[in-house]
Amino acid sequence: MKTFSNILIPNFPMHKKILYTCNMANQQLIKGSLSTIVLHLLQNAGEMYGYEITQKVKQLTADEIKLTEGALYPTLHKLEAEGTLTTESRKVDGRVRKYYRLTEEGKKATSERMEELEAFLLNMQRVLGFNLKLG
Amino acid sequence: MKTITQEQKDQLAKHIANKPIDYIELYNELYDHYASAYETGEKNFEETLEQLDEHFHFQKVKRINDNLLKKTKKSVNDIYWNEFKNFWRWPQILSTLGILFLAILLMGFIPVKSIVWYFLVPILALNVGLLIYGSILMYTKKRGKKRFKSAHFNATQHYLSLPTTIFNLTIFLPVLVLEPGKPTISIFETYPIIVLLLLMLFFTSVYIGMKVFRTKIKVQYL
Repeated sequence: MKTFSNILIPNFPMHKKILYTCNMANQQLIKGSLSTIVLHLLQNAGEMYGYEITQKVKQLTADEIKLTEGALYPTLHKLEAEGTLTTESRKVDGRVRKYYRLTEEGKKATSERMEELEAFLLNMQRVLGFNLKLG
Repeated sequence: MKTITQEQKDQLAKHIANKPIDYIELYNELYDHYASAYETGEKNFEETLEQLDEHFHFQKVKRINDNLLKKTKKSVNDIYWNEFKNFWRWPQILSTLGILFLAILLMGFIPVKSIVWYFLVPILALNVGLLIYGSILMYTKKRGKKRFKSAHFNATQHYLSLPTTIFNLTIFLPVLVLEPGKPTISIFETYPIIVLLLLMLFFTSVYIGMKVFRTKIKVQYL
């Protein structure tokens, strides 16, 4: 299916599109997209722990975007309370590590959010008339 | 990749324990975050702590801690509701109906007293044991010389005491339905369906309580 983001940035994973769309200096935009970023990363990876999520974002954006780590955990806890994420704690390297995973409800919510975001970006493109030049 | 030494582990434990954290869940999550950052990062131990403290400063950690119980309660409620619904869904519905059928058969052959003393009371004791065990874990397992509560234990406590309430109900219900001239009425024999439903609730709440305890509470104190 030809979606807006695929036309805009072909062969580019969705989370990269989201992250690059946000100006790296504008942490507010990143903060607003944080839950969508988390959901999409978890959709791809299956399960991740907090530190891993921050590192994945750094890695995907070549260290240009750094998540506000202090904001990550409240977001993860909120998504868990909403029933979007489920957790499993396991002992790894002698310490307890909490893994986050999407619930069935969370998988649906992720798809909906991605569609909403695409529609939003499309509208922004129309309203502001800018051309997104990436990479 | 570096490996955190025992001395650094102790130092990190004290460092995290000094933050305004009440719950073991948050302690473990931050401990793992700091340790992972040190092990995979390029900075030395002290620099890693300093850098992460900028993100996890006093006010930020306090805010996360203060909101944790409310969020945990919500997720525990969801866990209980979903697990309860699963008992009445395919394929678990088969085992649920199987247990019910078996219970109906057994109730005809085994004296009620035996069912109560050899079956229900031990299960009840196990459930009460969970509450005691949870309190012992919180009291004895220190991190960085500090005791931490479990947000999940706190959020689950009223569910863990639910089986006791249901059990008491099955014991005290006969008193409520006593009729004049029939002082020895047994609700087990007179209203078996009500008893079975109560017992199903009893078993499901014990089962879910044990599952939540094992996967969400005990694991935090490993």
